[in-house]
Amino acid sequence: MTLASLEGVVFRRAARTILDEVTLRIEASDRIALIGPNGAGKTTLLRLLLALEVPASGTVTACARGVGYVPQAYSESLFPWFSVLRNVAMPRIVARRADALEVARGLCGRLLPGLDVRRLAGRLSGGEKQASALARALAAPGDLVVADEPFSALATQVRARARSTLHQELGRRALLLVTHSAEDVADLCNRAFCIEDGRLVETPLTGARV
Amino acid sequence: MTDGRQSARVRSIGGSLLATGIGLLSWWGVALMRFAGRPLVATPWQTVLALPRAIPSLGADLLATTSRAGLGLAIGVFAGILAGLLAASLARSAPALEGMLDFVRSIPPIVFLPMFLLAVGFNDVARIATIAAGCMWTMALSTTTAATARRSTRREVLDLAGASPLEALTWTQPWESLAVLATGVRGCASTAVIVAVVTEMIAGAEHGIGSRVISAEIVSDTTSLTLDVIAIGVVGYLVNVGLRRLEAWARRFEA
Repeated sequence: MTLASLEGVVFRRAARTILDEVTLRIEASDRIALIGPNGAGKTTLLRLLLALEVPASGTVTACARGVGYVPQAYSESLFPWFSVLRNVAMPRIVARRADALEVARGLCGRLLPGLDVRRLAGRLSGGEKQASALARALAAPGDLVVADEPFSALATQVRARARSTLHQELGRRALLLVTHSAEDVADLCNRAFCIEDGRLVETPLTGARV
Repeated sequence: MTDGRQSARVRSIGGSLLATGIGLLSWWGVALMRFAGRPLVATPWQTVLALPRAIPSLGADLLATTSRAGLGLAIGVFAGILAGLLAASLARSAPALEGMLDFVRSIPPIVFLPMFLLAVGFNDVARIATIAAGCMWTMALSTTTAATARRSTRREVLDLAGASPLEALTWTQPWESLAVLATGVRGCASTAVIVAVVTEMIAGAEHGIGSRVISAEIVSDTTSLTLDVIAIGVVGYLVNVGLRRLEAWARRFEA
């Protein structure tokens, strides 16, 4: 089952072509890594799949509602006026799931051990905020998790724990991961794509240039 | 407390005492000067001595001024929020609206007083309406700014989760707008106090700091005048401090 796709998508910003004839299909249970240098267009590709950007040409089949999403600007995506628990539970509260708080509490326990989940999200450190954003994405009830550099603010040990939690909690869901880490690619993904000069090129998992 | 912190605290207390002393001495110095044979202000000592006698009537006048300012502010803020929301909802189809609000806000509020005096007579309704008119446009502009702010990452995350437009609004808008609105209210409060005093001075109110100042000027009572100026200064300062705290509290929610 195709969860989201881009067919021959071209995206331009001002006069510059960011993505050129890009085609990508995300199937159920896919674990896709998106790699490439800074400014290559990885985040733009994600945002196109999420229907947060509109292409100049090509066809986009956007992710269904309920997708888990860790944006690059994870700090600005949290609700600093609500508790960490309410932040993490948000996708399930919105989806009217009765288990929203229970699931959120479990994810907080794994990704933010020892943290008082009643704390306001605005009072968290940068790393804690990113872990909260990841927990919230995993709480989402959809079949796909889209994560834009979800471990960039985490310390090495925390990063390993977060990676392992993401791996376990994904279950049968698909993953689209933007990363600069070869370890992330090796541990979490079964396919890798690189954006080079606006083109999307599939690369081997081993020795993927990140 | 560490030695370094303790000495910094001692230094800051000492500096504050010194600044207060210099301020009082300067005031005294100005009070000793004569302009056209008369002092500009009373000395601090004369002012302190006049305080016990003035307190009952000064309290009543301060209450009258702050009541007018408070009521005008409340009406202005409420009307401003409504006008701002209306302007924000029409902003896309009629972008000139924001420019119009900016234009009306640029008109000094006190010039509305003669219009209200003509329309409703020489009474408190005209004064309070002038204060409300002064506050309304500033608040309307703040509300429009808050309501038309760039779509936030939080809204994107809510949309992706499948939130309804109303849900997305309630999860974000009141909180994201708080800081802008608090800044607007602070600006309006200063305007309200100024306009309240000026309307009392112009339109011959029976009570209020404005009328009190004019009465003191007529009988050349420099001491009462000085006391009144300081009293309204204290009120303005306290209002500002309170609203600055409100603004700081609202800014805690900014990511």
